[in-house]
Amino acid sequence: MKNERFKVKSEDAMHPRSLRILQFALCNFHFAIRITLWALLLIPAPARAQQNAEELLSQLNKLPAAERRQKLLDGAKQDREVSVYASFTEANTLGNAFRKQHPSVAVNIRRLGGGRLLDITVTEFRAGKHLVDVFIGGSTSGRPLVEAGVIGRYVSPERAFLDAHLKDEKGYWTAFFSRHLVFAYNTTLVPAARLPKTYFDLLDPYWKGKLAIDDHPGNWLAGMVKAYGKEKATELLQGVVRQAPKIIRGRTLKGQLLAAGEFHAAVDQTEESVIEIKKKGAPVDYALLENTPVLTNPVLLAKNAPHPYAAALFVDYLLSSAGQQAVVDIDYVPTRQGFKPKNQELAARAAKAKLVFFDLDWFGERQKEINDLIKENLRPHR
Amino acid sequence: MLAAYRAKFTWSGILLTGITVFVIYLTLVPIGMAVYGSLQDGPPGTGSSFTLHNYVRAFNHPILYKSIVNSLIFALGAGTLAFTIGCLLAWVTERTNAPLKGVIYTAVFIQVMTPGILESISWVLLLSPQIGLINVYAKSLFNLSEAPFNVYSMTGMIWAFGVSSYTVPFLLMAAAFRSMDPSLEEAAFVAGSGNLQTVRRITLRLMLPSMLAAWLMLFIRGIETFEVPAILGLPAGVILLATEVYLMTREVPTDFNLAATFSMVYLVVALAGLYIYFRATRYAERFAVITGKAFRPRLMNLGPWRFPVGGACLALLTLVAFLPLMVIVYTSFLPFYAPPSTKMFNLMSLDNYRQLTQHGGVYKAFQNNLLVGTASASLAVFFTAVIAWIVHRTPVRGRKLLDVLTFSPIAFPGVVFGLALMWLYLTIPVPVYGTLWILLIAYVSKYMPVSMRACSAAVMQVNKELEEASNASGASWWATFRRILVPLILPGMFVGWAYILSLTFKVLSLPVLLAHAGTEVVPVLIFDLYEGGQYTVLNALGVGVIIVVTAISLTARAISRRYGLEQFE
Repeated sequence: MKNERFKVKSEDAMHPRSLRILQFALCNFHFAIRITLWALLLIPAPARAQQNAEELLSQLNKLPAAERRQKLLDGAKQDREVSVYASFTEANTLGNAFRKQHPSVAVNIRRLGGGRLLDITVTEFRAGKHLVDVFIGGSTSGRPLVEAGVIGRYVSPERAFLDAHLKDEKGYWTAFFSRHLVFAYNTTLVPAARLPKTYFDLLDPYWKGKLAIDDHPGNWLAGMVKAYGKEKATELLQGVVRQAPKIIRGRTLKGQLLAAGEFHAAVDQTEESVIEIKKKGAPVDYALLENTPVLTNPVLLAKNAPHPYAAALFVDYLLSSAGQQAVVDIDYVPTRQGFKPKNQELAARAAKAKLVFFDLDWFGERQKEINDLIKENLRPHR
Repeated sequence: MLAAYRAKFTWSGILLTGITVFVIYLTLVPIGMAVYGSLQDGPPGTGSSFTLHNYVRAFNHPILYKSIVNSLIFALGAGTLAFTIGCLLAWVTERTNAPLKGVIYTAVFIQVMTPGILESISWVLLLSPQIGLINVYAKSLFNLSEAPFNVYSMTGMIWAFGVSSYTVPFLLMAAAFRSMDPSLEEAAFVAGSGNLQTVRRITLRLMLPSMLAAWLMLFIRGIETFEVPAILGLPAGVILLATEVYLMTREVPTDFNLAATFSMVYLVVALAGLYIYFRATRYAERFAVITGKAFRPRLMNLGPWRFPVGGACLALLTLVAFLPLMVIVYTSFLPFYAPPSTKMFNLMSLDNYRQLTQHGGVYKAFQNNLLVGTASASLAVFFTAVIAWIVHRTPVRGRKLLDVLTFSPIAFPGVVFGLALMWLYLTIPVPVYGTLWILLIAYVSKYMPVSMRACSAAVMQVNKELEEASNASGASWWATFRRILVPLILPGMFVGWAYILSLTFKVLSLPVLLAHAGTEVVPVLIFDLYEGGQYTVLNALGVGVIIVVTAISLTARAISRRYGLEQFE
């Protein structure tokens, strides 16, 4: 038997035993594919939770305030954690602030960019996996989440302290901070006399080749549509495109390039990215032009939240005085009545400016229309 | 019949079959999901039905053809540039006695590890007509009225991408040169050939598998890369296929079906490239330069040219590697980016690094990334070494298909790949979703193509007589593989390993979908800082990644050299 090993004559004789099995596997390749596909089809349909968070919390809301609060705290203690999907970096700071008040509830924050947040959540939801309790941040993903059926209604008692345009009637979403989309400029390149008053001033030949705009200025355009109507907003967008703006992906990059003097001004910059480098001494400033769009960033509760009490407690916290103070502390613009942003200059400028608010529902209904407008008009031009 | 089969089961056979089946599983799932997705009218789980409309949507587009032409120009241009630089540097380091080899190797590793987004932005800061440092200095030095370079152009894009991708051909070619038997070149010398003629007619021809492998990877990367087209192409108005795909699929939620359809285009490109590669290397034994004869890679004596050649390499590296690196390091000390001046030097501080250490997730992200990165790189390299052996050494039917399957994932963009994996592991009862395991699975399957080409080219260099000798002496398959083949192809395996490790630290598209609270990896952090408006802190993170991963790679290289061919010198 041993001698057989020395009879190596041709390639085929090299490893006859090993290869036969391998050959068997490869020849039955199609068979394997078929089995895999069948297996995929046989995956059981997701089981439904008996009572979802929406129903549970609406029953809870019927109780007197003190009893409700106590039940919520007890329930949250048993939940032990709340799972949060967030679309902004400072979410962790808010989570820590919540933890200080409620040490028995852990906050697990998954940080996701706007578009991916939606992809992930919807895929999990369709697969019947309920892993998330609360969503915070996404001004663009909020409405599609509601439409996908992921979100449950939850009327937090703290909503009473918010203006009507910061919440919806049914209780799907509540704005807990807002952002201004400001006109940002380089102070060494743009003389004060040249500062525009309205967005239409940017169509002046002076601004030719001097502007930058986001590669997907959906929020800004939505504000323009709300303020001026679709027709005039389209004209404005086309006019800005004729000025040959630099199309830049990412507001961080846009802010840094603005400070370095790569272009004179950015049409649609979120305020905090300018304020931060301005504070550090960069030659940049911002102006709130007529009809500056204000983005509202919502908190939403998952219909099938696995930790419903902790989720409701977290939502209540973000809208409460304590939570809004935490929002102020991270330099965001709070939404609760009587709260002002920490940055006095921004508060003063915002108080004087004419702002245009658009809520999640308004934006959601027009999102496709606005995307199409951008697709048709905002093409890179030489 | 069954008894006959049972008798033939051996441990080697089970191992080989097990790995093959596992690799097929890893690659077939995303491929199947993408093909299926491109033929459906909705994402998985929505009760969608069959349609061809996605292909109509993808191709019925006026600018698409222009963008394809642009993409071809871009990929070929950048590929040629990268290939020339990479080959030249590899040849100098491995086959001549020029000095500064350590510097070249370190520079290459640093560049492999540099996050692509930072490197692309560095080129804006160096070559933009308005603020580019090179332009500003050139203007004042030569009294020019206009900036001599414009990074916002096709040439600029080719430059920025080309000089950031020469590392792939460098590493592959260096591995190939290292395993070169010089007796063939010596024969050419004896027959009267000069240095150049020998290089051209002997050395380069023997290197064909590695050269083609490098080209193939460069070309595919060039077609699907997104950073340079987005950062330089969008402002320049140069639209590539990758930009077009992005513009058409960026809406939320991602149009999974359209994205899957575009990945079919990439798949066709990748398979066409692979076909050319197969055709050109079909007589594998021609390239087997490692034989039973003892050899020692001979260094070409450059004589008086030693130092000029070393100096020229250093100058080249300064241009392609050190300049962008300097911009990144410089920015990492600033409160905000501005051109160097006395004022800016006074503002320099360690604040960004301090802020980074205070960012809660940094240590965890590095820890996770090191764990999952080294594990997936090692697994992918091991699997592909086995697959390469099967493809090149066995007569089993379907072995080419195995190569095709292993290489195919290179064509699938992260979002298609990631969503496919998400869906699979959310619906089958394998509890990996939300853990580091799903990242491991994703990385191994997505990056196997990289090590597949590296290992395949390396196996082709080894003459099978060495394994036959081992086999004839009674060694089992596993012993032969471990003690003969692996040491001989180790340089190639190391290339795959280091490159995959670097990708796990750089590429966001997979972890952005698959990382959870607690399983974040470094790219998630990069994304966070990029989105969160802290560009200078991001540069500090980039410097940290470069230091840590370069140190690991150089250590691993030192270890692999001790174990590999070098010991025979």
